[in-house]
Amino acid sequence: MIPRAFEYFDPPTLDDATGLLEQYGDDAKLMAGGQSLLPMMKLRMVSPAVVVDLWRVPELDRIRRDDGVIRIGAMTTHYALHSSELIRSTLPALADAARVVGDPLVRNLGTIGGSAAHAAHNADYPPVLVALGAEIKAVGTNGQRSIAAADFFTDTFTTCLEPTEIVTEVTVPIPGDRDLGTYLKLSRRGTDFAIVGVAAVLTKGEAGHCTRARVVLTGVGDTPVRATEAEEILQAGPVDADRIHEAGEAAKRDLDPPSDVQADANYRLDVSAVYVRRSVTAAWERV
Amino acid sequence: MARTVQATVNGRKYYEENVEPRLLLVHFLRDRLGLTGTHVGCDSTNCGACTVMFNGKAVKSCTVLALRADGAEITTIEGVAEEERLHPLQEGFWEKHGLQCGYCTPGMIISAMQLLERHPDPDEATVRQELEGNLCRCTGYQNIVEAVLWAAERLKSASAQG
Repeated sequence: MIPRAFEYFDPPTLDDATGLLEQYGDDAKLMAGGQSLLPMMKLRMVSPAVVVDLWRVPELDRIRRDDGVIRIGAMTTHYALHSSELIRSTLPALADAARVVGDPLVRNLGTIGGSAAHAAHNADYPPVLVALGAEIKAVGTNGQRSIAAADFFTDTFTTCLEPTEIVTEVTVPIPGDRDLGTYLKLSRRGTDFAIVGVAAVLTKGEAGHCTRARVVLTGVGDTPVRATEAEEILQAGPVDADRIHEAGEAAKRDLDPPSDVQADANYRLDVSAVYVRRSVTAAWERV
Repeated sequence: MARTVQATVNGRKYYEENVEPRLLLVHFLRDRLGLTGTHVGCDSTNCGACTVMFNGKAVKSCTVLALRADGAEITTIEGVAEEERLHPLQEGFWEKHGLQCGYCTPGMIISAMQLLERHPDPDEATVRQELEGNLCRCTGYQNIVEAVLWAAERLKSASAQG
């Protein structure tokens, strides 16, 4: 399978890249790691006339701690993320997600910025970024802005990015010591997208109470879905197996999942409860 | 517009003119450089038959543009043995019958090289997990896993003897 012919640019700076996006408009596609775009081009699901490849733009693949936040360059690969000691110790839910995207070969090239901008409805990062309150930084011909992850994903394969905007960084507030999370995913084989994935970020208070819960699912809607009723239940009293079970059942009431080749809606609904339970339990044990 | 790609493959420098943007790395290696040990399997980023070492990382060469190979260091299965001496992984696949038809083997071996770099003393679960990106339709994986564990032992004792 060969993609349709296209014109290729690999500009050395972000300015050049946004300029190319402005010049070519809808004819242009940005490439980061290429692990979603190239398969889609080979299948001719997309056939951009112009590909703007970001691989030569320097300094987009850094991970650093900076004044209460972790800054992750958009071109940071999944492998770099899950093997980073800093990410594992401060943002374990993000490390969990990075470890289960695609397979080891895909993780060597695929990037967090590319995955976020691609915005597949069943991708692993989106629920984690929403649960962690991450911001996505973008640069365009009109300057720079930060977008809350909860506002960033607007539909399947759709974000709120303007046509000339490029994701440059993901910024995640560093949680406190009693404030950790997990991401857990159900898929049939290693390489697959999530049938259901659940990010849980919990804050442990006094006497076994959870003072703040964020439970966000992927694969069950057009965007990441927050299970707000489950969150309320977790925050309403001491956390034990019964409460966690109740939260799982409550999550189902927030969901209207799709049927597709991997799983039908009822199955997704049932395993959503199971994975909410497992993810919350694992997060609670981690704190 | 076609470009020139300069790349080092298996220690040898190549200078290839007129490389089209849509040319994929796997076809660059096979059709332009004649290195047909790298196989095209599913051609859809699933099977890993086309895995090569690309700047020190195992990647699916059907999912990389050849133009990205400009300035790259690449190792394909042809570059794994030293002269006539097989790599311990190649020996392991031989000793443990890690292949039947052999189609997935070049990719399996490159992925396993990465695995052993990252996990020099892997257990069975780690081997299975790290080979998730490589599909084999003959062996049921059992002998592949044993071959990789055999190679890990061999490499460990080699480094212990220093």
